[in-house]
Amino acid sequence: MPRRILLTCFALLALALAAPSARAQNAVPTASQFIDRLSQTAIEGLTSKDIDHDERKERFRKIFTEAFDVTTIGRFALGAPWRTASETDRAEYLKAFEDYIVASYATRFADYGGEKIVTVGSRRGDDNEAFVQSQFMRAQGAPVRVTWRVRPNADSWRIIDVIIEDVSMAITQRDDFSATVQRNGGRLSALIEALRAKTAPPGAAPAGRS
Amino acid sequence: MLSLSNSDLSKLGSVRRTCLTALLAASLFVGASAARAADPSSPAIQAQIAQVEIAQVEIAQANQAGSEIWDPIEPVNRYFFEVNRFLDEFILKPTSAWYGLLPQGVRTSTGNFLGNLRTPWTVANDGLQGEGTRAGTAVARFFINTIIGFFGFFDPAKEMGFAPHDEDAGQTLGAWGVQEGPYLMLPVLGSSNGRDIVGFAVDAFLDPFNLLTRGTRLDWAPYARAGASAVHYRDANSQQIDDLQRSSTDLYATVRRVSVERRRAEIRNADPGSTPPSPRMTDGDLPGNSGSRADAAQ
Repeated sequence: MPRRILLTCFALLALALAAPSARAQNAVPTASQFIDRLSQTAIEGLTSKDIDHDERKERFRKIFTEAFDVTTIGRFALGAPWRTASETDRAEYLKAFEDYIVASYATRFADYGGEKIVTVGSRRGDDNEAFVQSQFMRAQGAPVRVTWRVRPNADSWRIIDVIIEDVSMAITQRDDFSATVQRNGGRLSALIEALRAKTAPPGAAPAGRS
Repeated sequence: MLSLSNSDLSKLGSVRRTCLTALLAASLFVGASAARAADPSSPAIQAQIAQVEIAQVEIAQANQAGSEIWDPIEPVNRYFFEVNRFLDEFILKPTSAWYGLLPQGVRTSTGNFLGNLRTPWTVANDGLQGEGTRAGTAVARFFINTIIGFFGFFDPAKEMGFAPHDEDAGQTLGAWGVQEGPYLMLPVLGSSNGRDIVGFAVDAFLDPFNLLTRGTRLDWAPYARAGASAVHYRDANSQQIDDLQRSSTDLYATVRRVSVERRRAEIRNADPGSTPPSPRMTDGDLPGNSGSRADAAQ
C-alpha cells in the first residue's frame, strides 16, 4: 500500500515536472499569432489550383469550424427566434448556417490572387477577449482594415466576429437574417430555406430574389 | 469600400428638387437641436443641460455597434431600393464594367483626380468641425497633389505621409451632434437619412467646385463629376457588391446596415488603431432559453 502511494507520488511528480516543458513547447499562441497561423493555414490549404470544388469546401469547413465559434455567431445572428426554437430547429439552423458560410466563402479561395492578411497589433477586450487588427492586402487597391474578435478557447482562440472597415459582420448577418425571418411571418424555417437556397451551387439555385 | 451609395454619387439629381426635400427634412430635424435659451446660470437650466449631456452620451452609445436603425418608411425605401437596383443593373453596372477595362493606373488616377476636387470642401468641413490637424493635412494634400501631382491625377502627398480623408456637410452636422433621423433610400442617390439629406443640399450649394462652376460655361461639370464618381466607385467596389448580392438573404437589410455603420464610422473619425464596434456577445446577451438581456432589448 505505501509502495503504491509512493509510486503515485513519483508519477505525479514526473507529470508535474514534465508538464511545464510540454506546455512551453506547445505554448498558447497570442491572439495575433493565432490569426497569423490561421491565415497561413488557409492560404496553404485552400488556394491550390489542384484541388476540386468539394475538396476545397471540406477543407474550408474544417478550418472554419475549428477557428470560429459557429454556435455563438449563429445564435447571435438569429437573435430572438433562437429562444422559441426547439432543439431540433436550432440544430437544423446551425447546420444550414455553417453550410451557408462554407458555400459563400470557400469558393473565394479558388481564384486566389496573392492576397495576404498582415496582423498589425491587438487590443484586449472584455472577458479576456482580444481584437486582432490586420490589413487585408489586395492584389490592387488600398488595403482593407479587418479586425478579428477572438475569445479564449481551451489552449487557443476562437473567432466570434470579423469587423471589416468598422462594419461588424455579426451585426450585418443578424440584420440580414432577422429581416428574412420577419418578412416571412417570423418563421425560422423560411430563413433555413433561404440559407439552403444560397448554399446550392450556382445554376442549381432557384431563381428568385438574391 | 462597400459604398453602394453616399455622397460620392451626389449631384446626379436636380439640385432644385433636392433643396425642396432638404427644406422639408430640415424643418423636421433641425428643430431638435433648438433647445437652448433662457438664463444659462439658473440651477434648473444647469440641471437640464446636464441631463441633455447625459442623454447625448447615451445616444452616442446607442449609435454604437448594432443599435437599431430607425426606418419608419421601410416599404417606400424598399421600393426605391428595387428601383435603384434596376438602374444599377442596366446602367451603372454595365458602364462601370466598361470603365473597369481601363488599366488600373488610369482608374487610380481617376480616383485621385476626383478625390482632389473634393478636397477644398473637406478642408472647409474639417474647419467647421474644429479639426485643425485634419484640415492642415487636407490643405497640404490639395497643394501638393495639385502642383506636384499634376492637377491631382497623382497622389504624392500620400507618400509624404498625408493620408487622405473625406468630409462633407452631413458629417459636420453629425459631429455637431445632430441625430441621424430616419433612414432613407433615395432614388438614384441611394442610402441616406434625415441629417444627410440636409448635408447633401449644403454640399450641392457650397462645395467650392460647385460654387466656381455655377453660372459659367462649366455648369455641367458638377453633373459630370457626379457621374464619373458613381462609375469609379461602382467599379472600385464591384467585388464587394457582388459578394453582398450573392450572400445576402435580404439585400436591403444588409445594405442598410453596412451603409449606416460606414457612415457612423466616417463621423466618429476614429483612430484606425482603436477597437472598432462589435456587439455584446457574452452568454447573457445572447438569446437563450429564458429571457436574457438581448431578448429584453428586442
